[in-house]
Amino acid sequence: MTRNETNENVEINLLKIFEQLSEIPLRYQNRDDALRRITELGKEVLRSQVCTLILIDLENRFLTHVACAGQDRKFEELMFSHKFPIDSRNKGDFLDFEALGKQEQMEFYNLQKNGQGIANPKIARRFGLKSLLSNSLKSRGKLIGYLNHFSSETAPFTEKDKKFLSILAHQAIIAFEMFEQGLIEGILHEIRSPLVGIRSNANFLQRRLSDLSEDFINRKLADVITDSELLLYRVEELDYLFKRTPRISSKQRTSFYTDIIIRTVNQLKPLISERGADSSQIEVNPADSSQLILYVNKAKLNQAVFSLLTNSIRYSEKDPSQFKIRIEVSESKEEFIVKFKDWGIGIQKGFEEKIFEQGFRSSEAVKKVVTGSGLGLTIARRVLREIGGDLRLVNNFKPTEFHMILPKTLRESEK
Amino acid sequence: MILFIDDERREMDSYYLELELSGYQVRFKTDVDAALIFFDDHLDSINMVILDIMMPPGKIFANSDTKLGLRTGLPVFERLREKSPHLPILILTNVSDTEVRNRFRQEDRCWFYRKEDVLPFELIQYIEEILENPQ
Repeated sequence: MTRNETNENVEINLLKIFEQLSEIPLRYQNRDDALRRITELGKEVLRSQVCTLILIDLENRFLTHVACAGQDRKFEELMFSHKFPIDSRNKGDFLDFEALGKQEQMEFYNLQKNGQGIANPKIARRFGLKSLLSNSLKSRGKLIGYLNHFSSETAPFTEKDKKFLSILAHQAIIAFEMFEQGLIEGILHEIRSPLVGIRSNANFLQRRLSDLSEDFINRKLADVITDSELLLYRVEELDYLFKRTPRISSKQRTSFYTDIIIRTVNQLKPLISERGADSSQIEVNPADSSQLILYVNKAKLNQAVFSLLTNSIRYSEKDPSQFKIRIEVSESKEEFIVKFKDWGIGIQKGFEEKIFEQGFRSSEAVKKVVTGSGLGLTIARRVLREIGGDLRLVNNFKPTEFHMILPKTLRESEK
Repeated sequence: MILFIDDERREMDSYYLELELSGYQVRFKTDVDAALIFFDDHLDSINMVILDIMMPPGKIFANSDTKLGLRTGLPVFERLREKSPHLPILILTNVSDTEVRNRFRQEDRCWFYRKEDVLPFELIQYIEEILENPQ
């Protein structure tokens, strides 16, 4: 908006923006797009140089999302990569608080006292931004993030701006909550679907058993087992989503080759056949992996591998002859590295870290498979990190390559 | 012939088999583009369509309002209706949204069932009833 515009024009523009704001939760089913659009509209109305929306997970002490308008992606990446929050005394309300000087700490204590949100002044200063108008985002009484407006001028914001910011924050919360609800709906669908499969298969077998060949019965039973496994993993996702305390997990002697890889490939055979492919198109070198004996929670590691391989199958190319997965094992001094390579549709550039975010699904993924919780890789990485390892994407396309890092200390059994 | 349009081939296999074993000629299509091409080419021989709602929108509905595929069945239904106003269409879906259910229940020659409420043999009973009562 320019200063030459008449009041009437300003009001009409604002009305249009309110209209657009109210449509956001319905128009955008993708959380990232919805939140980014909110920052764009906010920047437009508040004449701010930069508008950022950050979502935080105070319980697990990390920043879960950054949407940003008015700066290039570097700003977003910088905010995202910043350690956050780190100071337990302040219940995580501060960004990198300990890295600030004393005066800055006081400034931000005051901001907190005034009920305003906090943003990282170091980052803001690096981009020549002098003042900040901020609103906290609360969902069901819980702090979930901040909506921040930065300006290069000193104190350019008005009371009207503050009111508008609270409306923006309200819309951001609605978009966030709709996203959470969508996530649950997605998981529910993913539960209903295998349940329908199990129930209909069991009923079909019961009614038609005498008409069916042994091979056919075995194929149907394999379907039932796969659907049951899928259900078990969905329950784990619900556990994760509702942040239930992790169940006590015991470590067992586990052969990575037979207990994890072969078992998972067998579980997934019906999904592979559904794509018109064959499990022999999954190449595993037993010489690589058969020596790999670990003391881990077998079921959890199995879930991580299941998620990776399920994605490789679901997002494979349409032509089944192109379906190929290769699993290799290498090692460094302290780690085993299990490499999962597939020649599927790949992962878009720029999404290398986002794919591990809770609920994130790229538009390409959604085009291929409509429903999905977007939790598989999040949980897989968490499982690996819990045992001191990691899960990393090292190549986006042809092959899509994930590295599962397993510390060599896992070879030692607990006494 | 019955045209079965659903992206979940494996989960719906028992329904498909039960239809075949009950004597129906069934063509199963997992993507809507192929399904609509097939529909156009076999308009005269298709007696009924079984249609899912949550499916990838494919190329034909890539720019339609399918809510990222969660409601692809809606524009597919409209397209089928344009070509064949009186064809029986049975919606078989996991969608539990009452708005969607009511939307289909207002349509003539259209039946709405949730997958979890229908076993394969029950689907056959419903289809027999529908096909025995042409109007």
